[in-house]
Amino acid sequence: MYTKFSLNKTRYESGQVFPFLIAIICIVIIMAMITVNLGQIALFRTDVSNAADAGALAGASVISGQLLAYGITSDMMCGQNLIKVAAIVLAFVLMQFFTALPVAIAILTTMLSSNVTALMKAYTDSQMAWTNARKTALQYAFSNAPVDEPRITYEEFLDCLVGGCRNGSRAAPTTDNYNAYLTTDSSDAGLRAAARLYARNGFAKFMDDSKNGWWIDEVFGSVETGPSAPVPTPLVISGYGWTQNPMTGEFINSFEDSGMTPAVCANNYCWRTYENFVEIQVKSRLMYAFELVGLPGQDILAWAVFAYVFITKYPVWLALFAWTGPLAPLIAGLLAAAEATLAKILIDAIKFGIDFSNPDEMIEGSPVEVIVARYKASSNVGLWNFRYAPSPLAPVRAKAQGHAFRTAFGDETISPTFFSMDTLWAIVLFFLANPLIGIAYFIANWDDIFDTSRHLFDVRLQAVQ
Amino acid sequence: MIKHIFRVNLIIFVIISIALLPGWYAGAAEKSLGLAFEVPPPENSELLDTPNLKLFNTDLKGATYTSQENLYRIVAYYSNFFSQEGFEKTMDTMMPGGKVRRIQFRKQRLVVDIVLTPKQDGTDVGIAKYILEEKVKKLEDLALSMNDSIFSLPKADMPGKDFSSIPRPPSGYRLSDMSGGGARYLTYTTKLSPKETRQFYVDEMGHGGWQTKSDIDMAELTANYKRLSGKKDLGLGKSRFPFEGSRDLEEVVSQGFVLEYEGEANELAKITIMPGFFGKNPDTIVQIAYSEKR
Repeated sequence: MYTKFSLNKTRYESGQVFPFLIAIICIVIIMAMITVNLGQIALFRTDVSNAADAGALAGASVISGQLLAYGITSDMMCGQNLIKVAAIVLAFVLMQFFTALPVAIAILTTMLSSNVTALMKAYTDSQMAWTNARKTALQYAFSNAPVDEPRITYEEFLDCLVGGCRNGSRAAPTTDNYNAYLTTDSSDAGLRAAARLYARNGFAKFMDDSKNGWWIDEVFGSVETGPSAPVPTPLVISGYGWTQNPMTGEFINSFEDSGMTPAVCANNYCWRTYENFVEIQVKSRLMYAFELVGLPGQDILAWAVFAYVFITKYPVWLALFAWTGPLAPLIAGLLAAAEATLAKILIDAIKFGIDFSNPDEMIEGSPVEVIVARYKASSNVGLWNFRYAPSPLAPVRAKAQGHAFRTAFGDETISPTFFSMDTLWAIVLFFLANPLIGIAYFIANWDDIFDTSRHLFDVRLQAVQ
Repeated sequence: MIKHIFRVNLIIFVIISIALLPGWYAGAAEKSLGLAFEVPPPENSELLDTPNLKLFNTDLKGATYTSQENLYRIVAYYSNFFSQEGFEKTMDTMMPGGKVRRIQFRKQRLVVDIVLTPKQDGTDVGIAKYILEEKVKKLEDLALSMNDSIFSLPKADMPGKDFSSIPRPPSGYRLSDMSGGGARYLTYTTKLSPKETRQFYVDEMGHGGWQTKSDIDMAELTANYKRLSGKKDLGLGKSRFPFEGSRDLEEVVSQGFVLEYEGEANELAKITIMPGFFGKNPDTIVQIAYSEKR
């Protein structure tokens, strides 16, 4: 009896534990749901942040590539102009200055016209590069953005392909549709276009259109270029929104179904009226401001030319004015100096490359800034209808700045690196000592003279304020 | 009324007198210390010549001697002489080569340059006197002039040969014919203005079957550069050509034209036209660079 009672008591105690277990299980489930939801939020935020980072880095890479191109342009300009320096010196050495000077100035004019033309091209290139940077940043950010619009099913695809399925008017799946698709000539351009149209969801089509989709030429590509300073920093805002129609199950989106032209949609941010949207803002410089520049050691080069012309022409004038007897050295000295001064004026005037008008502002202060915003009105993830972002005006947002820096080595530049102090010494030795020594020095320092690695700008993300 | 006119005339007279006074004073100074100032010959010397020439638009009155004295004694002699005459020693330097010594003395506007070349049995001495404006420190600071003795701008074609397929500009002459770097450069002068010269080549090259590659108006290009870069000039430096009446480099370059042509036989021609810069009404200068495509 005691035993039975004890067993009953035990059973009774066992029965007491059960509600606790239920409660514990419920709590665990709720916690799991919360964890899932929080995890979803964290994932959501991470995706948005990754998209911003990807866009900013991609945009900065475009700029870095363009900076390298400017550096190479500068080097080529420098190389070509050094040959012309030699031509100017040669003219002064071979001719009397009143015949040498027109020749030298003609060379300088030609050189300058090429230089200014190259500078104009640099301006155009910089505008294109920054446009490309904005485009690339936008494209990469969209590609990495958390767009979970479902893809069309194979069945829907086939139905749409033959029956047409816009605006919820999809025909019921029929065997005829399958047969029609399978038996139609695959070279049929119309069919191919239709297959392309229906094979992808709205976002894929949006991403496929670089003129009226993620990028709208009419709105983003028409920024007016003005004088270089102050350079405007245009802001590009593009977005894609989508909503599932609860009645038909169809998805509608801002790209195809907003009822607005792309430009009007972009100017009114029409994607913000949808249940889901991803919006990307890209801000960057419009273009660079450049100027033609000389070389760091150009004054030394000019003085080397002065010395060379003086030394070469002094004996010539001495011979010409030998009739003045002891006065000849004075006259020859004065005239050789005048002639060397003319040559120096021309060498001083030569521009050897392009550089930014203000390097600090142009490089250190010019990031590609990307802001990715994601709004999801509601999502039945767990226990409750979960809202990811409080309102379309305050979506989950991440900001990143990508930058083509010149701080990796500290001496990155777009101005000519071809002409370094080593080149200068090679030239000075060539003219003033012995041509062979100059050439030997040039060859020995080849790596330093052609140090084009100084045009490689580091690309990285920058801390955002 | 008469009184008033008299008073006005008196004021004008006073103003003109005040304006002319420094010139009169300077003229008087030149009279007393002009080129007529006698510089004694060096000791134990023989006069060689009295060359006169014009450099930097300044008359140089020269006298050359050969002396049996050594260089140091002559320097000491002239230093003493000019010191007594109230001159200031403004230069004492070795000329290029390190053998010839140049000493210079100056009093007001009169400058005396003495060049001494040592030789085995004495010294060759050259003396040049000239007048410089007070504000001009050195003769070489002045601009070269078309009046200078050295100028002999060609009055006929200089040696060389014209291109057979590119016409030379009218009413001018060939300044130079030079080759280098795979190209041949001919330079001409012409009486046409730069604009007329450009039109001449646009017409002539078109008729000759040349295809225009570029037609650059440097004024337009310069204006674009200024607009885009926000700069005031091309940055060619402030230097003015050291020629009397000349324009500066920026002005010359930015008023030119550059025409580029491609010929049927893989030829390239670059014609650079620029305003002249020798003297006040100089001829336009045309340079034609011709090369064959590699």
